[in-house]
Amino acid sequence: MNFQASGLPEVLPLLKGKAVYSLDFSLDGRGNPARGVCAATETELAIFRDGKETFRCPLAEVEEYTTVQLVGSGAFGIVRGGKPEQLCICTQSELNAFAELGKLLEYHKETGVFPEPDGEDEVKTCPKCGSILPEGSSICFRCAPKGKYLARVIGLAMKYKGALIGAILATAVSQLLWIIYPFMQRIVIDDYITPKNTDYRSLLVLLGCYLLFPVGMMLLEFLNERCTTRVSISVGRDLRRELFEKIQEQSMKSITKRPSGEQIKRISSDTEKIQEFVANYGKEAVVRLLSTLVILIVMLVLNWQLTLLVLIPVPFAILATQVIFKYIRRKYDMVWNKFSQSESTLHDILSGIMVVKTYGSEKREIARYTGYSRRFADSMFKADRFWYLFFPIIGFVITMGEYFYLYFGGQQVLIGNMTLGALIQFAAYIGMIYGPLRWIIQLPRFIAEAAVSAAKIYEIIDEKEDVSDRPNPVELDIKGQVTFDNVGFGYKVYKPVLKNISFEVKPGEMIGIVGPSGVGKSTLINLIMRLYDVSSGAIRIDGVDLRDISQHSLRSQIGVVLQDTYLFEGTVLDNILYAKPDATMEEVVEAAKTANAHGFICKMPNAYQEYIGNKGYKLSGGEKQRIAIARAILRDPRILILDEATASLDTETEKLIQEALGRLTQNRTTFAIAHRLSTLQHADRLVVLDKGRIAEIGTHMELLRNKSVYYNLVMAQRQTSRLSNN
Amino acid sequence: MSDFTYLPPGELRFSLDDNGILSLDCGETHYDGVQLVRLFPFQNPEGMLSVSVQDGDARKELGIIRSLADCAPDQREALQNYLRYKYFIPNIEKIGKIEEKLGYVYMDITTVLGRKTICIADVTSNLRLVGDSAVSIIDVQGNRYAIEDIGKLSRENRQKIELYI
Repeated sequence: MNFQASGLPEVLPLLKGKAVYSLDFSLDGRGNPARGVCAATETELAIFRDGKETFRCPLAEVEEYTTVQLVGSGAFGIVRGGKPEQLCICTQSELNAFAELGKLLEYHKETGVFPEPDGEDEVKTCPKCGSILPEGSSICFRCAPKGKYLARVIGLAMKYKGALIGAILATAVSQLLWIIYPFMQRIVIDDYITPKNTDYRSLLVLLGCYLLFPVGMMLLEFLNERCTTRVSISVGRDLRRELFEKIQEQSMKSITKRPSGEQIKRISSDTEKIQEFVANYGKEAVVRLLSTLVILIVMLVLNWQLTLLVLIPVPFAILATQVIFKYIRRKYDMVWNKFSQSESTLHDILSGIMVVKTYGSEKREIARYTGYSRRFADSMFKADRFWYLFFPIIGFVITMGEYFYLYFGGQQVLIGNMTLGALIQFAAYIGMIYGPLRWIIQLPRFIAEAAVSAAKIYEIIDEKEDVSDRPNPVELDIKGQVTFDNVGFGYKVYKPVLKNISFEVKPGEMIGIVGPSGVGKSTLINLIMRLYDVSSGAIRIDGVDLRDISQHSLRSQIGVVLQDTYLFEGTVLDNILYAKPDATMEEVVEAAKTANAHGFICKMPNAYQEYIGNKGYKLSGGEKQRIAIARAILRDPRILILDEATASLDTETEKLIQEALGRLTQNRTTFAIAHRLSTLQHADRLVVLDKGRIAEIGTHMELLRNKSVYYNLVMAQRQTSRLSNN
Repeated sequence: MSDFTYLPPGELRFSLDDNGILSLDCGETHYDGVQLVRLFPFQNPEGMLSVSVQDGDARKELGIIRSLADCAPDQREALQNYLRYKYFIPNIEKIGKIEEKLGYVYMDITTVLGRKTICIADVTSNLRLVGDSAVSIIDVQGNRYAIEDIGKLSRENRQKIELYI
């Protein structure tokens, strides 16, 4: 990140000393555009707007630096003498830099050192065109070298060289036969179907050969299809595997920055597009271009004047197609857009049909859907009208060549410059050349579409991992001591979630994490699991930095029970075994018994092998939870994480689950989050978070005696439960 | 019971300093760091404004301003200025080239801040028609833009944007 404001030279004479950091900002306190500079020297912080000083304060007086995100802008400020002061207003795109500036100055406040900015821009731009790169993307979609990605796909196809060469040869020979076919026609017409010819034997031999052509071509087509399918399916499979492997290895930060629908689309439809490209266009392009060239040469040799006449309309048609295509594509994009709006409205209404019925709003919904449907129909009508008007015209222009051929060719036959056989041969070649020409016109579009899909796929495959194992990571046999050393973390640089978190947990200790919602409780446990890396400070397990431990070793010794248990499609057994695939049947039953799950499993017709459906839809929330606990027990983790594990359950089920959790947490370091504070009373210690920092740590009784944040939370909850009981 | 309160504009005295800090004098009480929230930012940007102040660790809503039109002209100006920077959503005056690449839409636009190319991800969610003629756009950096009235764009510009709404 560049901390040298472009407006700095203008205000330099007004500064006391050299600017260590400076940033531009573009708005004044009234929302009007302004030329602003915020500059920090070794001793002071100063703000200038339109060349005039608006604020100046010694760095020593600043207690805290604040960055606030507003709706379309942001505000940078300080806390001085316990009072917050807003210093300047910036645009959203300038906000990240101000948040970073705040961090640098905070560091200086604590250590007296001005740290070097990390040089990495929070917002990346394309070095070639300057466009902003979408978050999480390393390539500029505007100027991505399409050829590079397609070349990689071709490289992948070369793994199946044998089949690929087989397909190319089969297609090439088949095309060659097609070219020879009219030549034979000509011989038959000119040499044998002539008045007074009596050489029937030769004619029959020739017609026999004639019959062999379709048979040969059928065999070649079979070979071609077999080889092509093999290559394309294999390329699709390889890409899907590579992409899926990469997504599985990505950090949660990388995974969550793309919606799951987008990732599914890349794995399924983008690879499908590549597969289709390899099957129908890649190899075909080479062969068709070659065969077009060969036909063209043959035609020129036969009669170059006639060939040129026939081809005159082709460049015009190509040009017209390109121009019209751009326009018509917009029309059909509009159709697609309207169609998708109409579909999503339909989906929305039908999904909420119960609400529609109970509110008696059927007529309103009919009008809403009809409106979208009408707009879709209108757009379709407009696009089709255009299509049906222009494409016959283009077709007519292209086939104008055939009229030239009939007129001039017929004339040459009549005056004896050309035989009838040669004219018919020529006609066959015209038919043959128009098809590939039309196909070749469309080729750039298909190549572009395939290149786009290839770039999307390789963007993920090439992505640098942000949470990765260091070289020679430690395979740790975890005892369970966990240390938070001045940990700071934020999903966005200007929105720190956790600040200066420091505490130590002894092996086997149970720690309850409490605090108001949104305070960072779940973030804290995500950091223990290393789903994200800390922004500052360190988390240590048994004295080893989390980032030095192999991710596999770490996660294989952590057990998790979440509020929303995810069960995979399959049986109860499949889901319990997910934690330890090689567990014996005895171990599974034992784990289920400890989790108080054995009882309800036995009531199911197929007991442990009962199919529980997609996401376990056949089970109640409490039953799913107990399977998750059994899963965690089977894993025998050294560190256990319970995130609202007993939330939204009835009292009876909660009792069963609490009992199971009591057994599970014995002798394991446990971190538990619970909204209902009563469930954490027995924790060894409670860590109370407030505004992203630790407010207090202690046992339930100690914290109640403190009468601080925890006490207030408990009292508020008691009051709410009393009110709801009344 | 609801504690919905309309604030009496005549009893409020707002002031906005050069750094954008809004203060309020209401009777005998003075509040600094007052915040306004547009409750219906598209439907009623000049009305239904929630006024809140810091109260310990939380914010306390003093009440709602029904309409800026009810306020005295100098008060209205102060509040409009505050809202202008808080809801800094530049209006798009002109649309240049629009390109769609790999599911991202790159749009050359001209606003009060000058010419810029913005990149929009997931265009169906981030480019939306609001009401009958306004368009709201959020780019990949979180910057917000608006087209206050697509009817005011040139025919060519309107056709470009209509593709996405």
